Amino acid sequence: MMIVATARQVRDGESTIVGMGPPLLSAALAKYHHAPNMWYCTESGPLDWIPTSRDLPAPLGIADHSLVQGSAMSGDMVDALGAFVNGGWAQSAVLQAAQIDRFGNLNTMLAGTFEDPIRRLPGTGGNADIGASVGRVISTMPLEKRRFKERADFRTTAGYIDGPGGRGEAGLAPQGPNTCATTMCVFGFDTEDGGVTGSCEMVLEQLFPGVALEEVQAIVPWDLKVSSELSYMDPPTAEELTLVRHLDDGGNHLIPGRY
Amino acid sequence: MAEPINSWPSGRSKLMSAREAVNRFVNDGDTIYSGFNIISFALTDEIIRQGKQHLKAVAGSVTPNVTMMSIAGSVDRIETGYLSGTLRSKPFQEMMRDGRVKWNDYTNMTITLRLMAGGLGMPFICANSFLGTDYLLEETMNHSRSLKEDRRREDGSIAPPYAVIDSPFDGRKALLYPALKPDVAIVHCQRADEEGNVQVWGPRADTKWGLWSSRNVLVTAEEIVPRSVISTEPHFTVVPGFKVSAVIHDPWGAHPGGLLGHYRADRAWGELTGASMTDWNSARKYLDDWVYGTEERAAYIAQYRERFGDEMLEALRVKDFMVPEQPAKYGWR
Repeated sequence: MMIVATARQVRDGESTIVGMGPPLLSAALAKYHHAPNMWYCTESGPLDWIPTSRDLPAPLGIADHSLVQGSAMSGDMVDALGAFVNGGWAQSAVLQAAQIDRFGNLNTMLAGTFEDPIRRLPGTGGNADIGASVGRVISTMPLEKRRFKERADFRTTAGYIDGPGGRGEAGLAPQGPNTCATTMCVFGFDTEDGGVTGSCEMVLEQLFPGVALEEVQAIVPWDLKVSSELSYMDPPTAEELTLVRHLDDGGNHLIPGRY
Repeated sequence: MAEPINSWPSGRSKLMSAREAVNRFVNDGDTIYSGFNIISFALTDEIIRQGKQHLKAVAGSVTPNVTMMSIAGSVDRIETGYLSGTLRSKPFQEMMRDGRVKWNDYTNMTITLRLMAGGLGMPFICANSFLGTDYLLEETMNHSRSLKEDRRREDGSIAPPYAVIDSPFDGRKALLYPALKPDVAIVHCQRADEEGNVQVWGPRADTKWGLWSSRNVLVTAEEIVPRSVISTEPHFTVVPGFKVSAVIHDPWGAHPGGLLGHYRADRAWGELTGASMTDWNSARKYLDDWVYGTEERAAYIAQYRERFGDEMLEALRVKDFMVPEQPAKYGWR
């Protein structure tokens, strides 16, 4: 469900930078399903990957050799993260993270603190580079207490920082509409103009079928805003599920029972 | 001391063994670039065998070869954007926790740009990646296991790992990162000639600027080809021969990593041999068996064939080649 919910956030025709992990599968699903004309790009250099055959599985990594076959360009990080993302040509990003906070900042660095870490994580990769400059961020992670924090243990990737005007004060351009797709629901953020005005807080927009509002509220540790247009997400179609299973050939992305 | 790169007369072959290359060009205390695109496990093993110490590993992302060098006592400092696969190793986590490995965190792009600045002879480069994040906190920049000592200035003060300034041009915030100029780069490539014209294809990540910025470039090549092969497809060359100090012919030099067009990553390898270094015992056993216990890459591959059979190795080989539908037309008259 999380993979499908994330894929549905990817729009046809948009230039998209795709991060490590589940985003590679979600973006591939979008490309095969409803967004054939999205530009599928990864940070190690492949730009505009079009699978040469419908039988190909989703890439396993951002430098997967399968990405070379069918890409329009096989560049490097200066091309992909530098010119494409920071140059302002990437309209959206699909990113995973270990934590997200009330204002959409992401954490891929650690749980706890540097001096007293509960768990050290691999670090940001290109996540921070992308969050600073991309047009809008689609983040994705399971809805769990340790992941949803009032303030992320470490802000690796700027969302709306401390609220309205945060991005501007930090020296960053507006961004949005950002979304976060989870294992139970989809969140948006309360701002119409990319973080200049509005509360910039996370807002519950869609519940998965069978999930109660209270279940989500019980996991999110702050007083969660709920959209006045809260709706239930349409269940995954047979076509989407078939595609996901096919794209995850070998079960490398999907951990049973989790996503 | 390492020899300066220009001690090689132009056109002279730099073909040598990994042992000679590491002996001549890698010194204790060096900063070493080993990127995450095509990893030279052949040179990694040789650095460990020769007991090099106090190396600083830099790359957009560091990979399990840096885990190996850390556990073996060769690497004790890291500047990177991503610890790719390295945290699977408990010994490595332990070394980060107790300070045997010191580090500062950057990003894939900012490390690549820092290498680019080094390659271009610039003192620093500008990128906005850390604006609005906790990277800018004092406790991140100078945490107790950070590379403060490496940043000590002549007057005794500590330079920051990156710094926010007001742009002198428009007054807006700008974030500066210092140039990186590694002492030595190690990389594996699809092919090179004897002079060191290095050809790499596929996702190139930080490779190009890692090689341009490093004083000495050591390259293991899957194939050594004549100059004429290089010159008929010069667009694949990432750095020209004069930039390279040593060329080593080491087939399977990227194993257990993959090499586009030649072989896939050997995903069963870590489980079979303990190469994933999950605990101290498996790590020591792996190093004894596969690094100290083999003299060079050819011996390592021979040992692999002997233990697991030719078939298992050959199964990794790429068989389905991409053939240009319409090769680029080169020619001028």
